[in-house]
Amino acid sequence: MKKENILKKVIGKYNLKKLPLYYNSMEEMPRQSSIHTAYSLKHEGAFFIPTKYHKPISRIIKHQK
Amino acid sequence: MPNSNDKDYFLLFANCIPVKGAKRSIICDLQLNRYRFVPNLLFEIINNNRNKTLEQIKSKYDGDNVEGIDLFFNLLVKENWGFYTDTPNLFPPLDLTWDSPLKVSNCIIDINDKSKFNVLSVIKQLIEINCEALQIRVFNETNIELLKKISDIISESSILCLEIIIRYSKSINPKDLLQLVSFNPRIRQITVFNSPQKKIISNTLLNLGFISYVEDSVSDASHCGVVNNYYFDTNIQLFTESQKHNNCLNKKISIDTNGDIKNCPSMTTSFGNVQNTTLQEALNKKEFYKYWNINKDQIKVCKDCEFRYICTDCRAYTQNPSDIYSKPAKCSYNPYEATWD
Repeated sequence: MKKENILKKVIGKYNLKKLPLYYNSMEEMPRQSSIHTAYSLKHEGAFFIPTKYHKPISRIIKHQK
Repeated sequence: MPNSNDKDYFLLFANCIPVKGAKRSIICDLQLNRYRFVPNLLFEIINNNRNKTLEQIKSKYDGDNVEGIDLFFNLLVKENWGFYTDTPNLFPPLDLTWDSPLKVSNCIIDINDKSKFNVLSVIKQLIEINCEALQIRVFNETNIELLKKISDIISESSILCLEIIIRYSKSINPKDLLQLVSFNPRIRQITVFNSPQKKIISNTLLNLGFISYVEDSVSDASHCGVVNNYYFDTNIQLFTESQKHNNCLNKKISIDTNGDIKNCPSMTTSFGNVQNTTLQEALNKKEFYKYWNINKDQIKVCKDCEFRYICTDCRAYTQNPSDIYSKPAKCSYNPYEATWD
């Protein structure tokens, strides 16, 4: 089955409205439709403003555990 | 109590991925930036029975475990890690391939009072090769004018994230630092070490950049390579990059205090000095990429650790420097006992 058809089926099955491509944060993105979340993240270029780089660039400060 | 019947299937959300360790497992939630511990038995049940109904799964286990399966699945649903469905084929696993169009994605520039290279010229080269994240570490007292010049250069450039680590100085007013992060949202964090007290000042208006004063004493790059759970990041970019690449050195370029171009300022191999070699010339050397594809699944001890895809590696300080696959020296976690020493 094509990805687009799977997506349509999920949206229909769970009565999801057409979802926006732009979110203010990851937390706002849909949870139940994990397939849509996955496609949004990987293929549809879902956009949100990151608050930091996705990993530590270096680890020179110890910080507390 | 979540609704389910024995004909249903239990699935984790596609971006909640279980990772097995020697003693215990974790589920990494790549959307909500969290992880939770689960017993290895539950990892096996989830991982090996994706295409089986609850009834089929329970038929493989005895009484106590059957009750445990129900309890755990219901808990995971309640805590928003997974769900029951009668159409599991509609929820395929997340594609974990990773790629980046960038030659270099992140850079460290170290500066001390003996540094003779022109840092602004190096940053211009980074912009030319479309680097997106830059960390500047200044080990001696600096001045706000240099930080302002750096801030000006990166605005409207490819560098989307700038982190600055500086030594505490009475001559640098916290208000000036706050003004810097307020005017340039690309400055995500300014860390001030050797501070007399610990405090955080944030830009409440935009809630983006912040200034963190820490009491840590830092004098040079040898303090780097810290491994602890403060530095764990549970997100899709790091998790997918970690599958096949070294999650610290991949796409990284560094300039040490002498101006030597390296994979990491703490490493010994230099690929030329910025005073007579361009970053591009260093990147043209095959040896520069030696560490980029060493992932955690190849590193001793790390390969058995449940945190291996959310914890960044260190190849500069290892337990056995003559072994390229040795465990990071500054990691005190023992995955076989699940304890921090």
